[in-house]
Formats: sequence, structure tokens, C-alpha cells
Amino acid sequence: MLIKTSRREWLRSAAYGVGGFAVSGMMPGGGWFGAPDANAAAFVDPLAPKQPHFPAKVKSVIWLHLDGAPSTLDLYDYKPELERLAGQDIPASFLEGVKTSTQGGVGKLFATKRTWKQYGQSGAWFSDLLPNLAQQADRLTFVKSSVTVGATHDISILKLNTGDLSPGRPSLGAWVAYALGSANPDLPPYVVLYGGQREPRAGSVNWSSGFLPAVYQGTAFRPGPQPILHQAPPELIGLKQQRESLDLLHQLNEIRSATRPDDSELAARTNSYDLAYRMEATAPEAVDLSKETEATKALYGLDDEATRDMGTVLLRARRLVERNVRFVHVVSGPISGLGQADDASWDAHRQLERNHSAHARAIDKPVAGLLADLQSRGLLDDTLIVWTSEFGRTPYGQSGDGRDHNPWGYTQWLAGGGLKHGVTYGRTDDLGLKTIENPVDTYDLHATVLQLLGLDHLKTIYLRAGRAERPTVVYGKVVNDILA
Amino acid sequence: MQKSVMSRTPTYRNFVSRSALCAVLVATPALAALDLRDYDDDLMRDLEKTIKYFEPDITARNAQAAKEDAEVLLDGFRYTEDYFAKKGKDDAVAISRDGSRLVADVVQNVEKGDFDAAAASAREATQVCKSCHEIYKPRLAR
Repeated sequence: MLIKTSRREWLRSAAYGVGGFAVSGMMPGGGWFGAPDANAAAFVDPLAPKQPHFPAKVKSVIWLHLDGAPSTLDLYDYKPELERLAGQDIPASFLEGVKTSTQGGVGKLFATKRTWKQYGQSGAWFSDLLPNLAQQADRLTFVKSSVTVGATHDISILKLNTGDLSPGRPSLGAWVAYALGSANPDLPPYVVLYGGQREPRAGSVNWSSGFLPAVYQGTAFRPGPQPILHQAPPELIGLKQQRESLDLLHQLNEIRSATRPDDSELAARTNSYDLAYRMEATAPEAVDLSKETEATKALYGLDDEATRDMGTVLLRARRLVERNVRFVHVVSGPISGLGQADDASWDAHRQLERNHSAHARAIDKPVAGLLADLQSRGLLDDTLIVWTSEFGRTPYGQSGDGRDHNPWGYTQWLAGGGLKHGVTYGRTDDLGLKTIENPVDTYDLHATVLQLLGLDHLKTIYLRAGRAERPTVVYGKVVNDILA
Repeated sequence: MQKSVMSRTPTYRNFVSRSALCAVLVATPALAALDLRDYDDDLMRDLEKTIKYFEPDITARNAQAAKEDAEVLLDGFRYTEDYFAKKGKDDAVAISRDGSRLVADVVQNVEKGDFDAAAASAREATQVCKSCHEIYKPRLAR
């Protein structure tokens, strides 16, 4: 077979060794390169804990993705001018610099029947859709100047999670697992939880390890008592019998390893068997809510049909960060009564009132409960909670009673350790269409999350094909103004 | 009143992004009348790919690849400068020149072996590209 190699590729390969060696000191723990020379005796557990670049402010992240993109104009970003001009065409000056290519066109300005109030010492605005979260106002750090590229949900969700518009790059959680390793050898460092009964529509590419080794990908925990498929041993095999089988396998592998010291795969496989065995007990326990008190369950809304799904997910998230899982990636679930596919998510192109009332009700109490619970357990200072979405929604209407996608200006918030609380960073114009101060792109959010975990996004690198790849692609700046 | 946090560190990058934001507000009324369909799309795709290789090649201390990237980018900035000069768009011409200057900085620093400084210039070049795209390639919704 003829393998064609361009001069450029050859030069890259030649430079790989020299360049790779030179940059190894930039990674926590001294560096890690895609395919290092290794042998069984020198096998290094890829999930072994690694030191951050500088002292971390938080140990864990709960990355809460509101799937379908809520209208933050109807939750946090109060715009009296929108109410005043509702029913009129959007003034042309507001559309300058934006390119709309919508199915429904640019409709009249649309205001929902919200009532707004300021909460806490900070005076943060909340609509009547989030009465419980409003009580946590002073624990939140708002970014009201979020921007992204808004083509379609799947593409923008990919950018939200991986920093790129095409599949292939690692998700933020995978970078965290790669850079910091695992803080609990009995659980994966990166876990995905989702509302509803099925995996989110955008799929596992959003928690992929991309070009990083597969060991760093997110592990999706399914709803129900057995979170990992095929994890429980068959009924006819007892734990003792299984342990004995693994011990025998281990002994045989050691004999084999002694004659083949270069075989790192064998050591890795033995390691995987042991992790899987340990997880048979630890993973179900980590998400078992039976020992939680009734008061805790009620705090998350498990006693109410409307909030039970997301309450269960977020209570599981708390249990995972309590067990030192580094990155918990939560995706909000569909609400079946709202319709099929996109209509069931936050994607309110029509009937926004009905859609957002149901979704806000489903998340409001659970997310407020999560913040209060983490605080009461002393975990909030060690945890970062990020409310994100792939984009926001437009102030102009669509279909008469819905809103279109808005990548130009929307609100996200952070809570937890290392932040200035009760502050708002950036702002949108008077109608909430475009960011007019301090834009924060997904890369900037990623850089800030990594910073709080003690990682310099410019130095968190992985050498691939002679290039030093980093989580923020070639962009990203830490939003220092929101850091304590 | 709700507390608000303003950026207090006027780095070059901040300057570029703020300038871009102002430029969007000032320049876009004319954009509607500006036909950019004769811009070489293939070249732009190549530039967008290359700018994503540029800093990673530099950080990996792959001098030869970085210089090859620089060559592609310099060609692109020159083409863009000429293109917008013919259209009478002085802001885009100035941005293109900024880009060329930064890429030239990168090459100088790579030749000196100062890869950290080169990577910093490459990051600024990325921002320069973005600042022009904010005006002439507005972000698309749907």
C-alpha cells in the first residue's frame, strides 16, 4: 500500500519529538502525549490525579445545559423597552450587524405576560417564572453578554460543549478529566446525567473525548437504579465468584506481562477490569437516593410530579460531586406533554408561554434546591455550577407566540467557589437582542471554568499530529472581572 | 441597584474586541449595500483552517509548520487588504494590515526561538480575524 506523506506532514512528524519534549512541562504533572512510549512496568494510570497549574478554587463542576435554549429575556434579562414596543416592528438600528435567516422571518416585537421583581442585596431581576431560584439571587454571577454562533441546535450545542462547530474535538469535561485525572478511583471523573428517559438528541458527541484518549470521555449515567448499561453482573454470578475470576485473570495477566514488558494495553485492560468491578458497587450507590432524607428530597422537588425528573437528576449531581467526581454534565430533559422533538425541549418557536411555564417549573425548584443543599453541606465553595444554553432567544416573535434563536446576546450564570457573587457582567441592548458590553463567547466561559479548576487554558495542551491542541481552540480569555 | 462589573484591563485584545463592537455599530449600515460575493471563498476557508493550526503549531514549537502557516496567512491578509482597498473600506484595510503585522511578528519571534511571544501574537491575529468577521461576516442565526 502506498502511503502518501506530504512534505509538510513529514516535517510535522519530525518536529513532533523535539517540540513535544519541549512543551511537556506545560501540562500539569509534566506532560502527556497522545502515544507515549510505555511498557507494562512503567504503566501510568491515565486517570491518576494530576496537580493543577495553580491552586484550584473549586474541585468539581456541574455544567447544566438547558437543552433547546431558554429565552433568558423571559427569565433574567428584564427589558422594559421590549414591553413598551411590543407588537411593533423591531427598529432597524437594532438589527445592524446581525444576519437573520429564519424560517419564520423577523416578526413583531413580542413580550410575554411576565411580572418582574428584584431580589436579594444584589437586586438581580427575575421573572415570575423562577420564584425559587430568585431566592438564591445573591449566590449567582450573571453573564448577560453571552454570544455564540447560532446556526442550528446541534451545531451550537457542539460549540457550547467542545468549542467547535464540527465533531472531533474533546468536550470541556474530557479536557478536565485529562488535565486533572480522577479524584475518586471508584467512579469516572466525568459523568453525564440527563432528564427524561433517553439520551439527549444532540448525542454523545457532546461528551466525547474527541482526539484525547477514550478514557477521558464522559460516562452517561442512565436514569434508574443501574446507571451504566450491562454494569450489574448476571444474576447467577455472585460477587465472590466474580472477584475470584478477576483475581485469576489478574494473575494470568501478570505472568503474561512478565514476558512482554512492552505491552501497556494488558496493564490498561487489567486496570479497566478492576475499575469496572469497583464501579458495580460504587456507581449504583452514588446515584441511589433512598438514603436521602424526605426533607432533602422535598428540597429538590422529588415530591412533585412536575419537578421530580430534574430534581432527581440534580440530587444525583450533588451526590456525585460529594464523591469527588470532577465534572458532572447535566442536560435538561424533554417534557412530554409539550409535544414531540424540539417542542418538548426549551425550543419555543411557538407557544412560548406554555413551553417556558412548564420548563421553568421543572427546573426552578430543583436548581434552587441544589444551590441551597450544596451551601448547607459546605460544598458550594468547592463546586462550580454553570447554567448554560446553546444560545438564547430573540425579542422579536415567531409564529405569533414564540421566539427564534439568538446567538448575539443572552444570559448564562455561574455560582459557587471563586466567584464574585450577586454581580452582573456585560449587557445586551435595550431590547435584549445584541450584546453591547463585554461579550463572552463559549471559549471565554470554558477558559473561566478551567481557571477556577486551577488550569491555565493556554497551558492545558495535548500534542496531536505535531500541534499543541488546547481546550479553547485558538480563542478564549478568562473573564477575570467575575472572579473573586 | 444591581452591581455591575466592568472590564478594567485594557489589553490589546480587549481593545480589538471593543473596537470591533463599535465598528459593527458604525460600519454596518453600509454593509447592506456592500456586495462581498466576489471575495475568494476558497481562500477564506483555507485561512480559517490555517489560523486554527497557527498557534497550535507554534506552541508545539514546530517552527517549520508555523512559518508555512504564516506564509498562507500573509498571502490572505494581503489579498484581503487589496480587496477591501478596491471597495473603499478603510476599516477592513486597517484590520488586514494589523493582521499582516502580527503574522510578521510571529515569524520574527519563531526565528528568534521565542515561541511564547510568537504564540501571543498568533492569538492576537486570531482576534484580528474575528474583529473583521464581526463586521463583514455577521453571525448567523439558524
